[in-house]
Amino acid sequence: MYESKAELENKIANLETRLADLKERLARIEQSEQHDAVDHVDEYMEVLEQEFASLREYWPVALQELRNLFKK
Amino acid sequence: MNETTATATSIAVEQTPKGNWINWLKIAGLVYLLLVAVSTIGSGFKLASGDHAKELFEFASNPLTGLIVGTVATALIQSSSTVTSIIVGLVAGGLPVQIAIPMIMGANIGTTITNTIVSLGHVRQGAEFRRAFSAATVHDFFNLLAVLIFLPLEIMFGFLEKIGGTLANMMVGADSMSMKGLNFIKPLVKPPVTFVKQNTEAMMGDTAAGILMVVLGIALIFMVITLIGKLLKSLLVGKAKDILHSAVGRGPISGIASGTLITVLVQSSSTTTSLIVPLAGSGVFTLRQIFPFTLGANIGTTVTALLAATAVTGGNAVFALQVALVHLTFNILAVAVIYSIPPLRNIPLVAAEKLADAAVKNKLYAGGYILLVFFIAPLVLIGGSQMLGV
Repeated sequence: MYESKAELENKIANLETRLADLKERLARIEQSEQHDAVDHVDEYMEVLEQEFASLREYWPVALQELRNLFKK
Repeated sequence: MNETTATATSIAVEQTPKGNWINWLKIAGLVYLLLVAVSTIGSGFKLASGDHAKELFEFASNPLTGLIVGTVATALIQSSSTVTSIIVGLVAGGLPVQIAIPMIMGANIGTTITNTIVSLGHVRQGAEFRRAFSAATVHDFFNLLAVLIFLPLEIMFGFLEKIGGTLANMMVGADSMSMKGLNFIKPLVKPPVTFVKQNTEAMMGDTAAGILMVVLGIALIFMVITLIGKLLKSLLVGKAKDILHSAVGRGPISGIASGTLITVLVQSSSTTTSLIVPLAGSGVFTLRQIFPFTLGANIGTTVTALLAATAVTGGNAVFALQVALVHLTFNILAVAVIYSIPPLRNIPLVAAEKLADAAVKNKLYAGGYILLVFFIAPLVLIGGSQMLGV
């Protein structure tokens, strides 16, 4: 059974409306998560003082990969 | 007590209304010291070099060398505000603007090392590291691309120098080489600089006194900018939050504006760009969403050099302002040109994502990249250009 052109256009329009609605709802959820993350900015500010801690975190990982490189 | 807590304690910020007043007074005092430091560098450099400032910086007359000096100095100090303020001071002392411009561009590249190092802290979390590292390096790639586009154009046409010169003359008056409009700074800054100059000159010869003044000025700028950054970060974290909240879901222009504003408030582009790293690392913000914030940081950071230029008096005042305006113009043009042309805009994004993919597979790429871009490549380029006598 074939659908008429009008029926298909109607279905597409409905889908597009539904899609736009879903996109809007997703954007709202994402923005809500972003606002929550921004609320923790002061905690991140404290972490920024720890550049050397970042290097300390990285160093053993890099060293391990270097060892693996020479083991091969 | 770890290092961070110790540092935070040493510059404890009281968040009571009275404490806030005291902290704002401290900031006013520190800004004054910044102006004194810039002026001290200018006077010291002039005293030490006499009329030979250009010859002293002959080694940096090659724009590539100037660029690399700016990059490495900023990467080592991890503060473009400090380096650009020092450059403004040196221009006040007679360093030619043409030599200073590549250095200023180099400072833009060098400052990106901080957030890249911060992103290494996520190294043990695969996907988080990928997002954090790409969020950090997108700033690097943007600044490298900006220099690749604008440095050759500047060498060929000197357009930034011309724009900066025109703007500086418009601001101070073409008929005058002293900053008439900003003359209220002069009586405030001059007495301590004269005091330092007279005392150092009394102790040693002109050259040694000048060098000592430059060293004192650099040390003072470094100290002042570090303290201002710490104080402003503590005082304005709430404001930064408000700005970020207002930018959420508002598109790239708002992102650029908020990145600029936050950087102006905290007087540090590294703080803004590093702040973005954990936000992107958590996956809540995408790379494309945080990209405009990092661009705003580039624009916002130029305020420090402009502020520093207000401290300069005398014949070179207009040149100091010119180089500060070149810094501003360069960053605004880079954002306008690169961000508004989609193929150019995508280059830093794609490069950052590709490098992050590689760094997740092999963490050595991350460290190797930092060493290569900020230290090895600059030294090789300097060595090569010196050997070839370019």
